[in-house]
Amino acid sequence: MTTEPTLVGLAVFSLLVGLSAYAVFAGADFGGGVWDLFASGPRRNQQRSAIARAIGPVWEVNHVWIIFVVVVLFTAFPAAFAALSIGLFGPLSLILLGIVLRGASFVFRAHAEDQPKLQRWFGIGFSVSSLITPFALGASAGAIAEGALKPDGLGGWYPVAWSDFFQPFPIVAGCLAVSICSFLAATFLTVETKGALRDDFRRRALIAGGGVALFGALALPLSTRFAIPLSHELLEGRALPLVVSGGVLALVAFVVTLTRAYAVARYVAVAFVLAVLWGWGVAQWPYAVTPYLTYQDAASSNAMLRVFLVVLAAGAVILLPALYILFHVFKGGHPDAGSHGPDA
Amino acid sequence: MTELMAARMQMGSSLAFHIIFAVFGIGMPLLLLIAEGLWMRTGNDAYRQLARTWSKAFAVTFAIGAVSGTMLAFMLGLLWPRFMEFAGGIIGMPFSLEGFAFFIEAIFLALYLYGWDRLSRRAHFACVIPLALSGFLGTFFIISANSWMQTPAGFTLNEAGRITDVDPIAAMFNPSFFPHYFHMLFAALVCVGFAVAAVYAAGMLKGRRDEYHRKGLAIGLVVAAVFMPIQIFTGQQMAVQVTQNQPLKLAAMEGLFKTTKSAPLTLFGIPNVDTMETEGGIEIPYLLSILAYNNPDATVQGMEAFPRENWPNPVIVHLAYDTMITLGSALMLPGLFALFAWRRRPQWLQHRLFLLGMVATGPAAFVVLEAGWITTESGRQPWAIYNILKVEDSVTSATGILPWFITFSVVYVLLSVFGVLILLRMAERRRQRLVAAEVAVVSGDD
Repeated sequence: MTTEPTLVGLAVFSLLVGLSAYAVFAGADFGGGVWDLFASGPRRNQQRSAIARAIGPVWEVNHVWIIFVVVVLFTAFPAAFAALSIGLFGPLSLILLGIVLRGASFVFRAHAEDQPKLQRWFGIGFSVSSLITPFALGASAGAIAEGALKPDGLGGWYPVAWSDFFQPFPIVAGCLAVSICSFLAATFLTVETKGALRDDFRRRALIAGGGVALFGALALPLSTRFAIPLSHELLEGRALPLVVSGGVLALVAFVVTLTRAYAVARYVAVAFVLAVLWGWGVAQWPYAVTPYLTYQDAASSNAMLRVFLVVLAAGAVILLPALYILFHVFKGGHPDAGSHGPDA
Repeated sequence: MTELMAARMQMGSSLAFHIIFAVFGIGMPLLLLIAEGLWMRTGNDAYRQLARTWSKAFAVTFAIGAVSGTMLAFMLGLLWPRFMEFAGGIIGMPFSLEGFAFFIEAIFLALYLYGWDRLSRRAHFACVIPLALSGFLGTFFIISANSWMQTPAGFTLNEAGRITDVDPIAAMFNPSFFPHYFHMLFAALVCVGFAVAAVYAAGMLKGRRDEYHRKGLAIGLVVAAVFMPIQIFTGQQMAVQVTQNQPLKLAAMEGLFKTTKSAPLTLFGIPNVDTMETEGGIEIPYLLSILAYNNPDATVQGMEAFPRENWPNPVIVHLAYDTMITLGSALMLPGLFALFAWRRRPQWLQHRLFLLGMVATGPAAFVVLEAGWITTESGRQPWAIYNILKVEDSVTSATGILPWFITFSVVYVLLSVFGVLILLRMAERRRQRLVAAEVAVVSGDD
């Protein structure tokens, strides 16, 4: 019994929507952590508190997108979830550790205002894990694109060796993920700050933009050597339009940041991230695990996917207005937006 | 240590840790609803202060619950990929629905926490309602998946062992779902009620007998006392359900090796699998037959009626079960005592012994919670999906679980230590603010 291709396509679409939301929202939160780590200059403390104010009310909601992605994956494509879990046991455990340390340290730091020493340690936990987690996510995606996750021929999978992640392409993919997160965060922060602090984040957005350009420029040629099926689609196939628009959007984002059109820069940066993510998603199609397992072969039954997609649509009807309220209250240009901590 | 053992220990410790915070996620919104509702009705500032304090503490426990819950979502795959491969296409949907419930809870918690000064009173109060509902709904979906492991439904296995005829709705509403759901939901409300009451009882023992502490204790105790009798009833429903669906588990819970007519209930004692006796227990005649079948003459199947390779470890299951029912029943007492004292001897509610007892109920309720969870999950062993897929066949083929188990255990210890430390400091800061405010009032420089 095969699953209907339309249902499979819709499920992959939901998966990519979830990943996009995670990349844009949680990605910016991780990037905030990165800038906390690299806070510098005379305003380093103001930088840190601006980051904390921006992330505070929304990071938990943003974080839920990864849970969404995981549950969509194991409901719609259980075989792919099993393959990734076995093959990426080590890196996924590391990512998990990063997610836990990031969230817990951030909350602990926010509530430890009278213990400076402890607060500094929580700050380190928060910022270091904000750097490691997106790197490990990017490197894992890179390793899969290389075809490092291989079936064992007995219906199972070989765990990917650590050395497979320390290869040029996964490392560049990891660095690209970190640069993208940092770029998003700095761009968003220019909208939520003023004066000299805003200039600090503008400079950081430009630096991260440079990083994105560098690692993006490295990733494409490297993919032609190490991730051939992916590069074929990226450079000559169906993902090419997305790659080209990604490049153009990155350039536009850089220019508008340079000219201080911050409100515009924010949306261009988001569009750029979406282009990169969907470019990768489209290039990897039809494989969940390149080139061994297609989404089609990993899919649940028709009955399951049908009910599941209806449930996702119904859930979205409830979720979207709630998300709108949240971002409207905390990010919607309220007169003193971002000026209150929890129960300040 | 085998990889299987390490995987089981990592999953077990993660769940044992997460359940504590999950329970606060379910119960705290109800307490916030009560406190803030009372403030809106009466205008008494003590209620507002309680709601504000609880919301700050809840922010910390909720975050730990969120990250530890994420770990579980990943660990289901990392440790048990064969289980997820099998179960995902059948019971994945409630997990996704729980994802939505969790989204709603996180959104309205953020609005609630950060909205004290930004939203109108009404709008702020209105946030608690979706917060509480999404906690109850989240429990609904997670327990649906969990109860499906106990009583799998909504699919058929063909001769080749492949899954066919998947019915996600039938899987969600599997035979043991409702008893499991209500038993967990009320357990959460009782635990949070006692935990809150214990905190304020401890404060009163230190001489802080102001209105704030008395009202904090009262709200916690009333919530616990109202749901405790209902919880005993849902426990009875669980016994009936287990008798029907998992008779071997029932036998292990009761330490009953031999099939017995008019079976007694054996309290405590150590089940010995070699002699097939539960040694040193206290027998209460007929009670097991009554509990399971509502009939003192009914015959209850012993563990001997089932193949030995399918037995759970009766020592763990029996002792956990006994802990749950004895300590759990004892948790009826504070409510009954308080009801009596409130009508006849109000001064007893201020008495040292009562307050000491209330302090003990906090940890006791969580011991009962963990014991109940151990009963139901250890009683499921050796199966991951009851009578379908064994735990040993679900485990990952990846190696090197032990170092991760140790790492995550250290993380849990750190989270617990720092979590408690931060909550204590939070309470301390509140007291310092109060003292400072009093000084300001006395010296007249408001």
